[in-house]
Amino acid sequence: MSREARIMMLHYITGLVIIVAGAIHLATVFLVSPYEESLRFDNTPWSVINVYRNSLLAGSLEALLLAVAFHGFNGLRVILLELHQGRTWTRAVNVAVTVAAIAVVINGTKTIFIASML
Amino acid sequence: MSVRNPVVTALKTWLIPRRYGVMRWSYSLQRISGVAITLYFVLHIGETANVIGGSQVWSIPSYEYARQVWTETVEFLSNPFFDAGLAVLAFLIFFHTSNGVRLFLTHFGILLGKPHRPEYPYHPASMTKAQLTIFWVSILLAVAALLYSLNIFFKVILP
Amino acid sequence: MSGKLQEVRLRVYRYDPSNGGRPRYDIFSVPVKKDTTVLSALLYVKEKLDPTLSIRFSCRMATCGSCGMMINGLPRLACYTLVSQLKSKTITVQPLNNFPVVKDLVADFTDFFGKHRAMKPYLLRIDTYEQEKSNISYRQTDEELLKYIQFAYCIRCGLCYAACPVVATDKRFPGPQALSQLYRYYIDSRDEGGGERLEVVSDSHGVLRCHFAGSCSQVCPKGVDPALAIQLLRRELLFGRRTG
Repeated sequence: MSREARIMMLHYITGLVIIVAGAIHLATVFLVSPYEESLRFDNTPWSVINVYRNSLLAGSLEALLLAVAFHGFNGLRVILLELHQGRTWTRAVNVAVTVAAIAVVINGTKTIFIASML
Repeated sequence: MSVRNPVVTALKTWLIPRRYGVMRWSYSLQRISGVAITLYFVLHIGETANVIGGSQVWSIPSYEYARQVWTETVEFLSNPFFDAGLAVLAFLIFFHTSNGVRLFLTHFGILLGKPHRPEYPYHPASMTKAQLTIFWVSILLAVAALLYSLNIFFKVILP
Repeated sequence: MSGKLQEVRLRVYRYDPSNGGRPRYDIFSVPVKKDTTVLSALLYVKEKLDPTLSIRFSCRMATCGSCGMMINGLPRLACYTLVSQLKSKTITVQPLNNFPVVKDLVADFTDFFGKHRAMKPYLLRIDTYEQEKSNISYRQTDEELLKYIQFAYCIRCGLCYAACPVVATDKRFPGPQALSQLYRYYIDSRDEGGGERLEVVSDSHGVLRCHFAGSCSQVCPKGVDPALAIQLLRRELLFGRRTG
Protein backbone atom coordinates (compact mmCIF):
# COMPACT_ATOMS: atom_id res chain seq x y z
CA MET A 1 0.00 0.00 0.00
CA SER A 2 1.35 3.41 -0.93
CA ARG A 3 1.96 6.17 1.62
CA GLU A 4 -1.08 8.11 0.44
CA ALA A 5 -3.23 4.96 0.62
CA ARG A 6 -2.12 4.39 4.22
CA ILE A 7 -2.98 8.00 5.09
CA MET A 8 -6.44 7.64 3.55
CA MET A 9 -6.94 4.31 5.34
CA LEU A 10 -6.23 6.14 8.61
CA HIS A 11 -8.67 8.84 7.45
CA TYR A 12 -11.43 6.22 7.21
CA ILE A 13 -10.48 4.60 10.54
CA THR A 14 -10.38 7.92 12.39
CA GLY A 15 -13.77 8.70 10.83
CA LEU A 16 -15.20 5.57 12.46
CA VAL A 17 -13.51 6.43 15.78
CA ILE A 18 -15.11 9.89 15.64
CA ILE A 19 -18.58 8.40 15.18
CA VAL A 20 -18.22 6.39 18.42
CA ALA A 21 -16.24 8.88 20.52
CA GLY A 22 -18.25 11.82 19.18
CA ALA A 23 -21.50 10.07 20.09
CA ILE A 24 -20.21 9.54 23.64
CA HIS A 25 -19.15 13.19 23.84
CA LEU A 26 -22.51 14.51 22.59
CA ALA A 27 -24.38 12.10 24.87
CA THR A 28 -22.50 13.28 28.00
CA VAL A 29 -23.15 16.93 27.14
CA PHE A 30 -26.74 16.78 25.89
CA LEU A 31 -28.47 13.53 26.81
CA VAL A 32 -27.48 12.24 30.27
CA SER A 33 -27.97 15.67 31.82
CA PRO A 34 -29.43 18.95 30.50
CA TYR A 35 -27.03 21.17 28.52
CA GLU A 36 -26.90 23.93 31.16
CA GLU A 37 -26.01 21.44 33.88
CA SER A 38 -23.23 19.93 31.75
CA LEU A 39 -21.55 23.33 31.61
CA ARG A 40 -21.44 23.70 35.40
CA PHE A 41 -18.17 23.58 37.26
CA ASP A 42 -19.19 21.95 40.56
CA ASN A 43 -19.67 18.59 42.24
CA THR A 44 -22.83 17.46 40.43
CA PRO A 45 -22.12 14.06 38.76
CA TRP A 46 -22.24 15.32 35.12
CA SER A 47 -20.57 18.70 35.59
CA VAL A 48 -17.77 19.52 33.17
CA ILE A 49 -15.02 18.84 35.71
CA ASN A 50 -16.48 15.51 36.79
CA VAL A 51 -16.57 14.35 33.17
CA TYR A 52 -12.82 14.95 32.96
CA ARG A 53 -12.32 13.16 36.28
CA ASN A 54 -14.02 10.02 34.92
CA SER A 55 -11.08 8.19 33.34
CA LEU A 56 -13.25 6.34 30.79
CA LEU A 57 -14.87 9.56 29.54
CA ALA A 58 -11.55 11.40 29.60
CA GLY A 59 -10.00 8.57 27.58
CA SER A 60 -12.81 8.77 25.06
CA LEU A 61 -12.29 12.54 24.83
CA GLU A 62 -8.59 11.97 24.16
CA ALA A 63 -9.47 9.46 21.42
CA LEU A 64 -11.88 12.00 19.93
CA LEU A 65 -9.19 14.68 20.08
CA LEU A 66 -6.61 12.55 18.27
CA ALA A 67 -9.08 11.28 15.68
CA VAL A 68 -10.58 14.69 14.82
CA ALA A 69 -7.13 16.27 14.70
CA PHE A 70 -5.96 13.68 12.15
CA HIS A 71 -9.21 13.52 10.18
CA GLY A 72 -9.74 17.28 10.03
CA PHE A 73 -6.21 18.34 9.26
CA ASN A 74 -5.78 15.56 6.72
CA GLY A 75 -8.95 16.84 5.06
CA LEU A 76 -7.48 20.35 5.00
CA ARG A 77 -4.26 18.95 3.54
CA VAL A 78 -6.19 17.23 0.75
CA ILE A 79 -8.09 20.42 -0.07
CA LEU A 80 -4.93 22.54 -0.06
CA LEU A 81 -3.05 20.05 -2.25
CA GLU A 82 -5.93 20.16 -4.73
CA LEU A 83 -5.82 23.95 -4.76
CA HIS A 84 -2.29 24.20 -6.08
CA GLN A 85 0.45 21.80 -7.19
CA GLY A 86 4.18 22.04 -6.83
CA ARG A 87 7.06 20.79 -4.69
CA THR A 88 7.40 23.81 -2.39
CA TRP A 89 3.66 24.12 -1.91
CA THR A 90 3.26 20.42 -1.10
CA ARG A 91 6.07 20.56 1.44
CA ALA A 92 4.74 23.79 3.00
CA VAL A 93 1.21 22.35 3.28
CA ASN A 94 2.47 19.10 4.83
CA VAL A 95 4.60 20.93 7.41
CA ALA A 96 1.93 23.53 8.27
CA VAL A 97 -0.80 20.93 8.66
CA THR A 98 1.36 18.63 10.79
CA VAL A 99 2.53 21.45 13.08
CA ALA A 100 -1.02 22.78 13.52
CA ALA A 101 -2.40 19.31 14.27
CA ILE A 102 0.34 18.57 16.82
CA ALA A 103 -0.17 21.96 18.50
CA VAL A 104 -3.90 21.35 18.87
CA VAL A 105 -3.33 17.81 20.16
CA ILE A 106 -0.80 19.01 22.76
CA ASN A 107 -3.13 21.77 23.93
CA GLY A 108 -6.11 19.42 24.17
CA THR A 109 -4.20 16.57 25.81
CA LYS A 110 -2.83 18.97 28.40
CA THR A 111 -6.36 20.17 29.18
CA ILE A 112 -7.67 16.62 29.58
CA PHE A 113 -4.66 15.58 31.66
CA ILE A 114 -4.68 18.53 34.06
CA ALA A 115 -8.48 18.71 34.34
CA SER A 116 -8.65 15.03 35.27
CA MET A 117 -6.37 15.72 38.25
CA LEU A 118 -8.09 18.96 39.28
CA MET B 1 -4.48 30.57 -24.09
CA SER B 2 -6.87 32.15 -21.65
CA VAL B 3 -5.73 32.07 -18.04
CA ARG B 4 -8.10 31.91 -15.09
CA ASN B 5 -7.35 32.72 -11.45
CA PRO B 6 -6.87 29.32 -9.74
CA VAL B 7 -8.44 30.41 -6.45
CA VAL B 8 -11.52 31.77 -8.23
CA THR B 9 -11.81 28.51 -10.22
CA ALA B 10 -11.45 26.50 -7.01
CA LEU B 11 -14.06 28.45 -5.08
CA LYS B 12 -16.46 28.32 -8.03
CA THR B 13 -16.18 24.56 -8.46
CA TRP B 14 -16.24 23.83 -4.73
CA LEU B 15 -19.00 26.17 -3.68
CA ILE B 16 -21.37 26.17 -6.67
CA PRO B 17 -22.69 22.62 -7.16
CA ARG B 18 -25.40 23.62 -9.66
CA ARG B 19 -26.40 21.54 -12.69
CA TYR B 20 -24.61 18.30 -11.87
CA GLY B 21 -27.22 16.66 -9.64
CA VAL B 22 -27.56 15.60 -6.03
CA MET B 23 -24.14 14.00 -5.61
CA ARG B 24 -22.40 17.25 -6.54
CA TRP B 25 -24.36 18.95 -3.74
CA SER B 26 -23.22 16.26 -1.34
CA TYR B 27 -19.62 16.88 -2.47
CA SER B 28 -19.83 20.63 -1.84
CA LEU B 29 -21.63 20.26 1.48
CA GLN B 30 -19.15 17.62 2.64
CA ARG B 31 -16.25 19.93 1.79
CA ILE B 32 -17.76 23.08 3.36
CA SER B 33 -18.84 21.22 6.50
CA GLY B 34 -15.44 19.55 6.83
CA VAL B 35 -13.58 22.85 6.79
CA ALA B 36 -16.11 24.49 9.11
CA ILE B 37 -15.95 21.63 11.64
CA THR B 38 -12.13 21.66 11.64
CA LEU B 39 -12.13 25.41 12.31
CA TYR B 40 -14.65 24.92 15.12
CA PHE B 41 -12.58 22.04 16.51
CA VAL B 42 -9.47 24.22 16.80
CA LEU B 43 -11.44 26.99 18.51
CA HIS B 44 -13.24 24.46 20.73
CA ILE B 45 -9.94 23.03 21.99
CA GLY B 46 -8.75 26.56 22.74
CA GLU B 47 -11.99 27.40 24.49
CA THR B 48 -12.21 24.22 26.60
CA ALA B 49 -8.64 24.84 27.78
CA ASN B 50 -10.30 27.40 30.06
CA VAL B 51 -11.52 24.50 32.21
CA ILE B 52 -7.98 24.46 33.63
CA GLY B 53 -7.65 28.25 33.52
CA GLY B 54 -6.55 28.71 29.88
CA SER B 55 -4.14 27.43 27.20
CA GLN B 56 -1.16 29.09 28.87
CA VAL B 57 -1.56 27.04 32.08
CA TRP B 58 1.01 24.21 32.25
CA SER B 59 0.70 23.10 35.90
CA ILE B 60 -2.25 22.13 38.08
CA PRO B 61 -4.01 25.40 39.01
CA SER B 62 -6.12 25.95 42.10
CA TYR B 63 -9.69 24.63 41.90
CA GLU B 64 -11.14 28.08 42.56
CA TYR B 65 -9.07 29.76 39.83
CA ALA B 66 -10.06 27.19 37.21
CA ARG B 67 -13.67 27.41 38.28
CA GLN B 68 -13.67 31.20 37.97
CA VAL B 69 -12.07 31.25 34.48
CA TRP B 70 -14.50 28.56 33.26
CA THR B 71 -17.56 30.35 34.62
CA GLU B 72 -16.48 33.61 32.96
CA THR B 73 -15.93 31.75 29.66
CA VAL B 74 -19.38 30.17 29.79
CA GLU B 75 -20.97 33.55 30.50
CA PHE B 76 -18.98 35.24 27.72
CA LEU B 77 -19.97 32.58 25.17
CA SER B 78 -23.66 32.35 26.06
CA ASN B 79 -24.93 34.89 23.57
CA PRO B 80 -27.41 34.36 20.73
CA PHE B 81 -24.80 34.69 17.95
CA PHE B 82 -22.63 31.94 19.38
CA ASP B 83 -25.67 29.73 20.00
CA ALA B 84 -26.87 30.24 16.42
CA GLY B 85 -23.41 29.33 15.18
CA LEU B 86 -23.49 26.14 17.25
CA ALA B 87 -26.89 25.24 15.80
CA VAL B 88 -25.54 25.61 12.23
CA LEU B 89 -22.55 23.55 13.32
CA ALA B 90 -24.85 20.81 14.60
CA PHE B 91 -26.36 20.68 11.09
CA LEU B 92 -22.93 20.46 9.47
CA ILE B 93 -21.61 17.82 11.91
CA PHE B 94 -24.57 15.50 11.47
CA PHE B 95 -24.55 15.90 7.70
CA HIS B 96 -20.81 15.32 7.46
CA THR B 97 -20.97 12.21 9.66
CA SER B 98 -23.92 10.56 7.97
CA ASN B 99 -22.85 11.41 4.43
CA GLY B 100 -19.35 10.37 5.44
CA VAL B 101 -20.66 6.89 6.14
CA ARG B 102 -21.98 6.77 2.58
CA LEU B 103 -18.62 7.86 1.19
CA PHE B 104 -16.83 5.37 3.45
CA LEU B 105 -18.95 2.54 2.06
CA THR B 106 -18.76 3.60 -1.59
CA HIS B 107 -15.02 4.20 -1.45
CA PHE B 108 -14.72 0.58 -0.39
CA GLY B 109 -16.96 -0.56 -3.24
CA ILE B 110 -20.10 -1.17 -1.17
CA LEU B 111 -23.55 0.19 -2.17
CA LEU B 112 -22.43 0.46 -5.79
CA GLY B 113 -24.12 -1.12 -8.78
CA LYS B 114 -22.33 -3.67 -10.97
CA PRO B 115 -20.65 -2.80 -14.25
CA HIS B 116 -23.00 -3.70 -17.11
CA ARG B 117 -23.46 -3.09 -20.82
CA PRO B 118 -24.67 0.51 -21.09
CA GLU B 119 -28.11 0.80 -22.63
CA TYR B 120 -29.82 4.06 -23.46
CA PRO B 121 -31.16 5.90 -21.45
CA TYR B 122 -28.15 5.54 -19.20
CA HIS B 123 -28.48 5.30 -15.43
CA PRO B 124 -25.09 5.38 -13.71
CA ALA B 125 -24.73 2.25 -11.58
CA SER B 126 -22.47 4.22 -9.26
CA MET B 127 -25.54 6.12 -8.05
CA THR B 128 -27.83 3.65 -6.34
CA LYS B 129 -31.11 4.19 -4.51
CA ALA B 130 -29.42 3.14 -1.27
CA GLN B 131 -26.93 5.97 -1.63
CA LEU B 132 -29.59 8.55 -2.45
CA THR B 133 -31.47 7.36 0.61
CA ILE B 134 -28.42 7.84 2.83
CA PHE B 135 -27.91 11.31 1.37
CA TRP B 136 -31.47 12.39 2.15
CA VAL B 137 -31.32 10.74 5.57
CA SER B 138 -28.17 12.81 6.18
CA ILE B 139 -30.09 15.97 5.32
CA LEU B 140 -32.97 14.90 7.58
CA LEU B 141 -30.61 14.08 10.46
CA ALA B 142 -28.86 17.40 9.99
CA VAL B 143 -32.13 19.33 10.03
CA ALA B 144 -33.23 17.39 13.12
CA ALA B 145 -29.94 18.27 14.83
CA LEU B 146 -30.42 21.91 13.86
CA LEU B 147 -33.94 22.00 15.31
CA TYR B 148 -32.87 20.11 18.44
CA SER B 149 -30.03 22.52 19.19
CA LEU B 150 -32.15 25.58 18.36
CA ASN B 151 -34.64 24.27 20.88
CA ILE B 152 -31.94 23.79 23.50
CA PHE B 153 -30.41 27.22 23.00
CA PHE B 154 -33.50 29.33 22.35
CA LYS B 155 -36.41 27.19 23.68
CA VAL B 156 -38.36 28.01 20.52
CA ILE B 157 -40.26 24.79 19.93
CA LEU B 158 -40.74 23.03 23.24
CA PRO B 159 -40.60 24.69 26.68
CA MET C 1 -40.35 15.37 -38.50
CA SER C 2 -39.72 18.75 -40.17
CA GLY C 3 -41.90 21.00 -38.02
CA LYS C 4 -41.97 24.75 -38.39
CA LEU C 5 -38.89 26.95 -38.26
CA GLN C 6 -38.13 28.78 -35.05
CA GLU C 7 -35.47 31.35 -34.24
CA VAL C 8 -33.06 30.66 -31.42
CA ARG C 9 -30.32 32.92 -30.08
CA LEU C 10 -26.90 31.28 -30.03
CA ARG C 11 -24.46 32.95 -27.63
CA VAL C 12 -21.05 31.72 -28.70
CA TYR C 13 -17.74 32.07 -26.86
CA ARG C 14 -15.15 33.62 -29.14
CA TYR C 15 -11.45 33.66 -28.45
CA ASP C 16 -8.62 34.27 -30.89
CA PRO C 17 -5.06 34.14 -29.46
CA SER C 18 -3.67 36.04 -32.48
CA ASN C 19 -6.17 38.83 -31.98
CA GLY C 20 -5.27 40.30 -28.60
CA GLY C 21 -6.58 37.22 -26.81
CA ARG C 22 -9.61 38.73 -25.10
CA PRO C 23 -12.52 36.31 -24.93
CA ARG C 24 -15.90 37.68 -25.96
CA TYR C 25 -19.38 36.40 -26.75
CA ASP C 26 -21.03 36.73 -30.16
CA ILE C 27 -24.76 36.38 -30.52
CA PHE C 28 -26.23 34.78 -33.63
CA SER C 29 -29.83 34.25 -34.58
CA VAL C 30 -30.30 30.79 -36.04
CA PRO C 31 -33.43 29.17 -37.51
CA VAL C 32 -33.99 25.74 -35.99
CA LYS C 33 -36.39 22.85 -36.45
CA LYS C 34 -37.50 20.27 -33.90
CA ASP C 35 -34.61 17.97 -34.79
CA THR C 36 -31.83 20.55 -35.15
CA THR C 37 -28.78 19.72 -33.07
CA VAL C 38 -26.55 22.34 -31.48
CA LEU C 39 -23.81 21.20 -33.86
CA SER C 40 -25.91 21.87 -36.97
CA ALA C 41 -26.91 25.27 -35.55
CA LEU C 42 -23.21 26.08 -35.11
CA LEU C 43 -22.46 24.85 -38.63
CA TYR C 44 -25.25 27.11 -39.92
CA VAL C 45 -23.44 30.02 -38.24
CA LYS C 46 -20.14 28.97 -39.81
CA GLU C 47 -21.65 28.56 -43.29
CA LYS C 48 -24.01 31.53 -43.44
CA LEU C 49 -23.08 34.09 -40.75
CA ASP C 50 -19.44 33.96 -39.65
CA PRO C 51 -16.94 31.67 -41.38
CA THR C 52 -14.22 32.51 -38.82
CA LEU C 53 -15.95 30.46 -36.11
CA SER C 54 -13.75 27.51 -35.11
CA ILE C 55 -15.34 24.25 -34.06
CA ARG C 56 -14.17 20.67 -34.04
CA PHE C 57 -16.49 17.90 -35.17
CA SER C 58 -16.39 14.79 -37.27
CA CYS C 59 -18.95 12.00 -37.18
CA ARG C 60 -22.14 13.88 -36.12
CA MET C 61 -23.38 10.73 -34.34
CA ALA C 62 -21.73 10.65 -30.91
CA THR C 63 -19.08 8.15 -31.93
CA CYS C 64 -15.94 10.20 -32.51
CA GLY C 65 -16.05 12.41 -29.40
CA SER C 66 -14.79 15.56 -31.13
CA CYS C 67 -17.59 18.06 -30.56
CA GLY C 68 -17.69 18.19 -26.75
CA MET C 69 -18.45 21.69 -25.43
CA MET C 70 -20.21 23.46 -22.59
CA ILE C 71 -23.81 23.90 -23.70
CA ASN C 72 -25.87 25.98 -21.28
CA GLY C 73 -23.25 25.32 -18.61
CA LEU C 74 -23.06 21.54 -18.90
CA PRO C 75 -20.48 19.58 -20.88
CA ARG C 76 -22.31 17.85 -23.75
CA LEU C 77 -21.67 16.59 -27.26
CA ALA C 78 -22.98 19.25 -29.68
CA CYS C 79 -24.06 16.57 -32.17
CA TYR C 80 -25.97 14.69 -29.50
CA THR C 81 -27.84 17.67 -28.03
CA LEU C 82 -31.04 18.87 -29.65
CA VAL C 83 -31.76 22.57 -29.50
CA SER C 84 -35.36 21.71 -28.60
CA GLN C 85 -34.33 19.55 -25.64
CA LEU C 86 -32.58 22.52 -24.01
CA LYS C 87 -35.89 24.41 -23.74
CA SER C 88 -34.31 27.85 -23.75
CA LYS C 89 -34.50 30.78 -26.18
CA THR C 90 -30.80 31.61 -25.72
CA ILE C 91 -28.21 28.87 -25.89
CA THR C 92 -24.77 29.62 -24.49
CA VAL C 93 -21.94 27.64 -26.06
CA GLN C 94 -18.46 27.65 -24.52
CA PRO C 95 -15.35 25.51 -24.89
CA LEU C 96 -15.03 22.64 -22.40
CA ASN C 97 -14.15 23.58 -18.82
CA ASN C 98 -10.80 22.41 -17.40
CA PHE C 99 -9.19 22.48 -20.87
CA PRO C 100 -6.97 25.27 -22.25
CA VAL C 101 -8.65 26.97 -25.21
CA VAL C 102 -6.99 26.87 -28.64
CA LYS C 103 -9.51 29.04 -30.46
CA ASP C 104 -13.24 29.72 -30.02
CA LEU C 105 -14.84 26.37 -29.12
CA VAL C 106 -11.76 24.25 -29.74
CA ALA C 107 -10.12 22.93 -26.57
CA ASP C 108 -6.54 21.72 -26.24
CA PHE C 109 -6.54 17.98 -25.46
CA THR C 110 -2.75 17.60 -25.02
CA ASP C 111 -2.84 17.13 -21.21
CA PHE C 112 -5.95 14.97 -21.44
CA PHE C 113 -4.46 12.53 -23.94
CA GLY C 114 -1.13 12.63 -22.10
CA LYS C 115 -2.84 11.45 -18.93
CA HIS C 116 -4.68 8.76 -20.86
CA ARG C 117 -1.40 7.61 -22.39
CA ALA C 118 0.25 7.48 -18.94
CA MET C 119 -2.28 4.78 -17.96
CA LYS C 120 -0.87 2.43 -20.65
CA PRO C 121 -4.23 1.88 -22.32
CA TYR C 122 -3.34 -1.46 -23.88
CA LEU C 123 -2.99 -5.05 -22.68
CA LEU C 124 0.20 -5.70 -20.77
CA ARG C 125 1.56 -9.25 -20.96
CA ILE C 126 4.56 -10.64 -19.17
CA ASP C 127 5.46 -12.66 -22.27
CA THR C 128 5.65 -10.07 -25.06
CA TYR C 129 6.68 -12.67 -27.63
CA GLU C 130 3.34 -14.40 -27.18
CA GLN C 131 1.53 -11.12 -27.95
CA GLU C 132 3.39 -10.65 -31.19
CA LYS C 133 2.65 -14.20 -32.39
CA SER C 134 -0.55 -13.59 -34.29
CA ASN C 135 -1.87 -17.15 -34.06
CA ILE C 136 -2.62 -16.86 -30.36
CA SER C 137 -6.03 -15.70 -29.16
CA TYR C 138 -6.98 -14.90 -25.59
CA ARG C 139 -10.11 -16.61 -24.38
CA GLN C 140 -12.51 -14.78 -22.12
CA THR C 141 -15.78 -15.75 -20.47
CA ASP C 142 -18.91 -13.56 -20.52
CA GLU C 143 -18.46 -12.77 -16.82
CA GLU C 144 -14.89 -11.62 -17.40
CA LEU C 145 -16.05 -9.46 -20.30
CA LEU C 146 -18.81 -7.86 -18.23
CA LYS C 147 -16.28 -6.65 -15.68
CA TYR C 148 -14.79 -4.10 -18.08
CA ILE C 149 -16.97 -3.84 -21.20
CA GLN C 150 -18.89 -0.83 -19.86
CA PHE C 151 -15.69 1.17 -19.45
CA ALA C 152 -14.48 0.15 -22.91
CA TYR C 153 -17.30 2.21 -24.43
CA CYS C 154 -15.31 5.41 -23.71
CA ILE C 155 -14.92 7.67 -26.76
CA ARG C 156 -12.41 10.07 -25.11
CA CYS C 157 -14.64 13.09 -25.66
CA GLY C 158 -13.44 14.79 -22.46
CA LEU C 159 -16.91 15.59 -21.07
CA CYS C 160 -16.18 13.84 -17.75
CA TYR C 161 -12.85 15.65 -17.54
CA ALA C 162 -14.68 18.97 -17.99
CA ALA C 163 -17.28 18.08 -15.34
CA CYS C 164 -14.85 16.86 -12.66
CA PRO C 165 -14.43 19.28 -9.72
CA VAL C 166 -11.06 17.77 -8.83
CA VAL C 167 -9.59 18.23 -12.32
CA ALA C 168 -10.70 21.88 -12.15
CA THR C 169 -8.01 22.69 -9.61
CA ASP C 170 -5.64 19.71 -9.47
CA LYS C 171 -3.60 19.68 -12.67
CA ARG C 172 -1.88 16.42 -11.69
CA PHE C 173 -5.11 14.47 -11.10
CA PRO C 174 -5.48 12.03 -14.03
CA GLY C 175 -9.20 12.68 -14.32
CA PRO C 176 -12.20 10.34 -14.67
CA GLN C 177 -11.41 9.29 -18.23
CA ALA C 178 -7.83 8.15 -17.56
CA LEU C 179 -8.72 6.48 -14.25
CA SER C 180 -11.66 4.56 -15.68
CA GLN C 181 -9.49 3.40 -18.58
CA LEU C 182 -6.83 2.28 -16.10
CA TYR C 183 -9.46 0.20 -14.31
CA ARG C 184 -10.75 -1.12 -17.63
CA TYR C 185 -7.32 -2.64 -18.37
CA TYR C 186 -6.52 -3.54 -14.77
CA ILE C 187 -9.63 -5.70 -14.41
CA ASP C 188 -9.35 -7.26 -17.89
CA SER C 189 -8.64 -10.97 -17.40
CA ARG C 190 -6.17 -10.90 -20.32
CA ASP C 191 -4.07 -8.13 -18.74
CA GLU C 192 -1.07 -8.97 -16.58
CA GLY C 193 -0.17 -5.44 -15.46
CA GLY C 194 -1.54 -6.03 -11.94
CA GLY C 195 -0.10 -3.96 -9.09
CA GLU C 196 2.26 -2.20 -11.49
CA ARG C 197 -0.75 -0.43 -13.02
CA LEU C 198 -1.98 0.77 -9.63
CA GLU C 199 1.39 2.31 -8.79
CA VAL C 200 0.85 5.01 -11.41
CA VAL C 201 -2.15 6.40 -9.50
CA SER C 202 -1.25 5.59 -5.89
CA ASP C 203 0.38 8.95 -5.06
CA SER C 204 -1.20 12.03 -3.47
CA HIS C 205 -2.63 13.22 -6.80
CA GLY C 206 -3.91 9.85 -7.94
CA VAL C 207 -7.13 7.90 -7.61
CA LEU C 208 -7.45 8.72 -3.89
CA ARG C 209 -8.20 12.36 -4.75
CA CYS C 210 -11.58 11.38 -6.22
CA HIS C 211 -14.30 12.55 -3.84
CA PHE C 212 -17.13 10.84 -5.69
CA ALA C 213 -19.11 13.92 -6.73
CA GLY C 214 -20.39 11.69 -9.55
CA SER C 215 -20.46 14.54 -12.09
CA CYS C 216 -18.44 12.48 -14.59
CA SER C 217 -21.06 9.75 -14.73
CA GLN C 218 -23.79 12.39 -14.88
CA VAL C 219 -22.46 13.84 -18.16
CA CYS C 220 -21.01 10.78 -19.93
CA PRO C 221 -22.74 10.49 -23.33
CA LYS C 222 -21.97 6.77 -23.63
CA GLY C 223 -23.07 5.52 -20.20
CA VAL C 224 -19.52 4.59 -19.23
CA ASP C 225 -19.96 5.56 -15.55
CA PRO C 226 -16.36 6.57 -14.78
CA ALA C 227 -17.25 7.19 -11.11
CA LEU C 228 -18.04 3.48 -10.70
CA ALA C 229 -14.72 2.45 -12.26
CA ILE C 230 -12.85 4.88 -9.99
CA GLN C 231 -14.50 3.59 -6.79
CA LEU C 232 -13.70 0.00 -7.83
CA LEU C 233 -10.15 1.06 -8.66
CA ARG C 234 -9.77 2.69 -5.25
CA ARG C 235 -10.95 -0.51 -3.58
CA GLU C 236 -8.27 -2.41 -5.48
CA LEU C 237 -5.64 0.11 -4.31
CA LEU C 238 -6.79 -0.08 -0.66
CA PHE C 239 -7.43 -3.83 -0.41
CA GLY C 240 -6.32 -5.44 -3.63
CA ARG C 241 -3.12 -6.89 -4.96
CA ARG C 242 0.03 -5.46 -3.41
CA THR C 243 1.77 -2.65 -5.25
CA GLY C 244 5.51 -2.28 -5.60
